[in-house]
Amino acid sequence: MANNNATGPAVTQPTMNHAPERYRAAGGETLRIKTWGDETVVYSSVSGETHVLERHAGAILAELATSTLTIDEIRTLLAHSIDDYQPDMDDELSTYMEQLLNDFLALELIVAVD
Amino acid sequence: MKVSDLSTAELNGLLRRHGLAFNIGPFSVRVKSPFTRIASGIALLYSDYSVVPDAPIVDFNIEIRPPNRLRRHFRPQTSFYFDGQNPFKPLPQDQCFAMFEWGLNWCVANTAHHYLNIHAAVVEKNGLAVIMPGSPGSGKSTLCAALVHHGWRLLSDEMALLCTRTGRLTPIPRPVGLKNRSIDIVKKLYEDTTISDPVRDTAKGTVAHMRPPAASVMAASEQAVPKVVVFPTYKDNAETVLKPLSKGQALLKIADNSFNYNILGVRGFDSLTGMLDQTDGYQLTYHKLDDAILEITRLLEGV
Repeated sequence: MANNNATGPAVTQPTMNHAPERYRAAGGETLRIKTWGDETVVYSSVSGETHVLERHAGAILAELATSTLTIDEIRTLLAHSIDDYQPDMDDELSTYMEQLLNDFLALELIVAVD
Repeated sequence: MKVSDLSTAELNGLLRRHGLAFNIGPFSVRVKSPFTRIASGIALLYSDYSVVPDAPIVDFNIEIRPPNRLRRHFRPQTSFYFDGQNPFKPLPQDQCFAMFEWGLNWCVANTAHHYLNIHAAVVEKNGLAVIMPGSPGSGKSTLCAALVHHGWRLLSDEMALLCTRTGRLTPIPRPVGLKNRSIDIVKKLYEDTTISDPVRDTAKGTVAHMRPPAASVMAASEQAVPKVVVFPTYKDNAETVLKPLSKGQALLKIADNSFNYNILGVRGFDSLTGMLDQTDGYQLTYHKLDDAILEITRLLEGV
């Protein structure tokens, strides 16, 4: 039987000790991403697991599957993906992003690039 | 030639000596056994299947026989052999036919990796299929038996074979496995149906098998297009409730009910997402079979 789980940014993971500058998706061509509306499902051949992501997480992972992105670029993408984003949401956004990247790293969906 | 064209003596002779080879959906099977329960079970439940005379090569070579000579004298048992391997512990001899059915499921689940193999009942109408994944006790076999008595074609009671290349479902119609209360429910509702004698005290409780409709066996080469995925749950005295699932939820639940999703890797994921592009998933809680049949019919008709 499959070993699957669902994830979103609400999952708490260990905080990164030091933030690498750039990230990309792990697994290259064997990472599969499929989006249906606000829901994204992803299969990682690195871990052999399938995950369900909410919209923002799915959008970021889809970008990381085709590009290596800096933290600033990821933050900008996230801000643009939120319909009613306001500058006073920066702290919240940073927390969300850090948690999201930690989740992705823990699930072996992305790797840090030196 | 069909199995029913063989006389009792011919059937017994084949099973005891060279084995009886016959087609089950896309597979050919050779069964060899000295047990009269195997012969009577095959005569009763596989009568409409095509015999493969003098088959030099088959997909599954199966032998059901006592595990050793000593055992047969003080505690009769039966063992299942697949290509000479013995993957299971012996069972009491009165369970030999159930062991054949369970063992054949195991053979398909462990070897047919050109399909995404989902633990599910599958029925079809007008070329469109309803896939009903479910764990034992969920009520999928009872619902499946009821649907085939209401004009639906049986593709399988046990496994949905989704072709990873075409996205279509390949039928593998076999006897419908009924357990415990569902045996009497199906017997009472459909008096003209053929059901084997119940076998008690198995690992799954009391089990019996219902003969698949001849029309479903005859149409075993006709694939079907997946239309709806329904996860049934039988619950005593429950109202019939149909709840839509998101595509992601449906995917995870189907993957969890698949025998080989993890083995297929990317191919399994691509097959499932491709299927879910064309289908929707639902959770169906039911008590009354008629209501469940009505809901499934409405889903297929897009009502």
